[in-house]
Amino acid sequence: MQTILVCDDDKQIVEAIDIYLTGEGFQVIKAYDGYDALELLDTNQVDLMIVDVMMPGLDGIRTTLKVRETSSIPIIILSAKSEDNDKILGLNIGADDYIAKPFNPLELVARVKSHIRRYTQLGNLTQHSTENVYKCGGLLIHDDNKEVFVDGEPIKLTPIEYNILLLLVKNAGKVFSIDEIYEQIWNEEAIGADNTVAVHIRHIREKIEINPREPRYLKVVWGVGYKIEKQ
Amino acid sequence: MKRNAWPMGLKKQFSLLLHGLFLCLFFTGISFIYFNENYGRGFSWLHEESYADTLSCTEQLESDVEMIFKYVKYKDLFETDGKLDYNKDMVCVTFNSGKTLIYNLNDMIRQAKSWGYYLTDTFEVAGGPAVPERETRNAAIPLIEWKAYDPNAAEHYTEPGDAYATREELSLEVLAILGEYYQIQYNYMDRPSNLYFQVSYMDETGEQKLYTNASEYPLEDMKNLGRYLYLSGDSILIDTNLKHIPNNITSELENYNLYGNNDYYIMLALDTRYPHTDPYSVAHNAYTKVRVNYITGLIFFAIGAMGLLFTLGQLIYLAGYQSSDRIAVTLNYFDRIPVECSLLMTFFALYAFGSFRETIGARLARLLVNQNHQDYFLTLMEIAAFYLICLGEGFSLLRQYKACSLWHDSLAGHFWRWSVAALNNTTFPLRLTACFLGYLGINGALLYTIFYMYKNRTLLSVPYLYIIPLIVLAGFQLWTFLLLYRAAGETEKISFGIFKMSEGETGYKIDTTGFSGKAANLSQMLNNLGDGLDTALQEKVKSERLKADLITNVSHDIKTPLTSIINYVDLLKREKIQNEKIQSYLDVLEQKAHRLKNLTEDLVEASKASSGNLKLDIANIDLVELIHQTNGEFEEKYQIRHLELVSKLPSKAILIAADGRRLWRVLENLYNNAFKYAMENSRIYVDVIQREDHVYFTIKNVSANPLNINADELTERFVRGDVARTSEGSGLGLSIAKDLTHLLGGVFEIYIDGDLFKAQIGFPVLV
Repeated sequence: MQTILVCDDDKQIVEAIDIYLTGEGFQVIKAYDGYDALELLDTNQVDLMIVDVMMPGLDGIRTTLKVRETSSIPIIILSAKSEDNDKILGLNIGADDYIAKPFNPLELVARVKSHIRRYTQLGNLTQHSTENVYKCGGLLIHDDNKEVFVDGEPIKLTPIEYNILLLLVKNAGKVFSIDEIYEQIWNEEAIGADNTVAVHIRHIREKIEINPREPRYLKVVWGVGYKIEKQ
Repeated sequence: MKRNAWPMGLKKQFSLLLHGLFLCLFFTGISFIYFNENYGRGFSWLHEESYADTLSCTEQLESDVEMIFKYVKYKDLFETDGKLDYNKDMVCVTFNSGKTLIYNLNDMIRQAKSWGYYLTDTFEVAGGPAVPERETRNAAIPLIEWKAYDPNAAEHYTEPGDAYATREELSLEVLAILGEYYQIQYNYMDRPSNLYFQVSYMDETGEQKLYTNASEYPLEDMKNLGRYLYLSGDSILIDTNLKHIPNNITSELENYNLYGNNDYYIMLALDTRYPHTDPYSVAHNAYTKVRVNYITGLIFFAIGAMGLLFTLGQLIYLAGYQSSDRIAVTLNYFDRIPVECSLLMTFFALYAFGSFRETIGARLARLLVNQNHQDYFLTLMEIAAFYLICLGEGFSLLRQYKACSLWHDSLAGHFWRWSVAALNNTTFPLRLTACFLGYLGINGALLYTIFYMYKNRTLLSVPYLYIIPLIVLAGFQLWTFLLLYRAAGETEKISFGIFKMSEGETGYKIDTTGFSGKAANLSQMLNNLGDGLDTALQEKVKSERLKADLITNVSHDIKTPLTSIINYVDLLKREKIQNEKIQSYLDVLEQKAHRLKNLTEDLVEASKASSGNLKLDIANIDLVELIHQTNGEFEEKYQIRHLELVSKLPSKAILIAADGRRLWRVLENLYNNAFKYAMENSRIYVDVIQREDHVYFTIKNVSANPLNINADELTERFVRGDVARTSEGSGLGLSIAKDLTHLLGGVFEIYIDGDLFKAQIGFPVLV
């Protein structure tokens, strides 16, 4: 049973998160400020930490920094600040994820699960076959079996979706326009391509991403194309 | 220095006293120079260090040479063996009766005496008979046979009558000659003289005839007496140490050489020790005295002049200061009078003194001063008075100058300031008129002067004098042009400043250095205006930012409790309560909580978009690709409400410069807007058209509800097409879309035609 440390000065929020995570079978330790959290981390075996940014005493950012000095456990920042620079700051100082309040409880649970899986299992999974295996963060493609895993969970894709994802993963970081993708996958010249590719991309995103509006892997470069973020 | 320790007042008085003393010294020197017999000869006579070198001495010598030769002549005439011989024959006459008589000296003297003539103590002929007797006495006029004192007399006769003379006339002649003889005898023989002479002739028999008053001196000794002159018959060269040679000496010497040989000489010697009292010693003493006086006068003059200059400098340095730190200038009552008035007063004072010269001055001078020196005295006094008056006025001007009040307190200064103030109070057109009239007046005056001078150029001392006002005229035009040119430059700068400010650069400052008059005022006011605008603008930006910050902070504070609400509503729903009512209540709660969530998020975005407080990441993006992507995102969503997406897009890419993520937000809002408000089962038209250098994206849909508001209101915050606010929208979507489009440099338009809703955004195309 994994232990999750939840730290927020709002007790009701901690309580709610506790209910959701306990329901999913996690053990939850509760802290109400940064010093509590650091103390509990020292005395308990913790697998993941959820931390609020705006707290009295030691705030979430400084708590994260402190934790990162000694530990590499997944840290999810939970904050009412939803601006881009807040997210970038949080991720830059060592957090693994950033969830804005008010959050969808299901999304929170999904992300917690995903991070835990990656942290605890992923290391073993990738080692048995290296040929025709493409990995990008928590995204794993076994080309031999035409299998796709996200954080260890198998994903079902249609052949076209699979081919598009494979193309993007193989060229992780490169931006493909709709026309390029169409020409590569359908092997036809794209003459005034319609919305087909965009719809497929959307479908892929819905399958591999926890929150399709804020994708972790398949990113939209608006007005240019699509790409898989190189990790 | 010790003098610096003196009080200022004492110092000034001392300087003034010194100045007066030096002035007296100066005038004394001038007087010394003026009152000497050599006045008018300048400095040159100073070289003649002794009297013997002067021309007056030479003149004296010349007259003495004349006397000496007269002596040469009379000695033989009157003397026998060095004694006066009364028996010497003087004249021989023949009367009408044919009788010839010879009169000797004694006869002549007794005749003269008998008629009442005598010699005065200066050996002049005086006395004489009463007039009536003269006729009878001179009844018989004898013919002159010869005159012992004038052997060649007959040669001088020009008329026959000249050969006749009365006995009275003859005896008077003899008496006059005798007088001269006595005079010479007295001056050079009987009394000791400073002038020694030796004249020597050799007669036919070889006997030396010597005429001298210095028989005891050998010739060489005479040369050592001082000044000498030696002239001998066998040489034309004159041996002398005199500066000026008496120019009658050679001719006289030759005239009295009766013997036709060259064995003669003359030796003149002047004892420059002047042991004896005679005209030479008297003149020498006077000369020496005058020369000493002159040199003293010169020294006085020089010292006086230098002292005057020095004390004047000292007074100029000290003028006006009361204390030795030389800071504050104190003005007296006279100094406070305007400079024109004080100059006028000075002028009148000078004029008054000038007229006193004839009235009071002359009378006073007659009382005090010798007749010969009155004029000089008056002139001196006049100059002194003028000098003192001018000195007083000059120092008054100097004090005013030091106090910087010379111009300020003058009538001209007052008038100038008054005119400037008066002009400044008038309107600009009036001032311009005044300036123009002044310009015309000056030009007219100059042109008239030129014309007048040119017409009368022959009367001028320099015929081309009219060139000067011509040059002045040209200079005046140039000056006017420069003024206008400068004003034009100022106007240019001001209009450039206005242009800059109207362009939005409210911080722009007009460089006012060198500006004057109206332009300076104008530019100053414009700069102030710019400052005001700039401040207002900054205030506005600041307040917008504050507002955005406030909204952001408030939304953060709302989000935390909202999180709990959403979570606990969700938890409640999970409890699977069987009561249908409760379930429906929970649905409402959930719906409203989500709407609140959207609202807070949109509110933050809207405030940021409208205040421009956003970081844009501008890149070259393909609008067609973006529309394809957006279509892909919404195609399935539209199917929920059975909306058909009809897009008409160009096949080639159209590049624009924009922030892709923000533009996506714009499109997302527009598509969502269509999704929410379009009539079900209708079509939504999307197209991209390039017109010239702009690309336009248009989305059209038919509204499900009547659009009873106008297009502008739709983009205002919290305005929605439907009156009932139950649907999920925040009412901020179009407002955000519009603000973001504007931020990205695009145009955003909404058209409403009945139930047709049409939104259009346009961007410039990158070439």
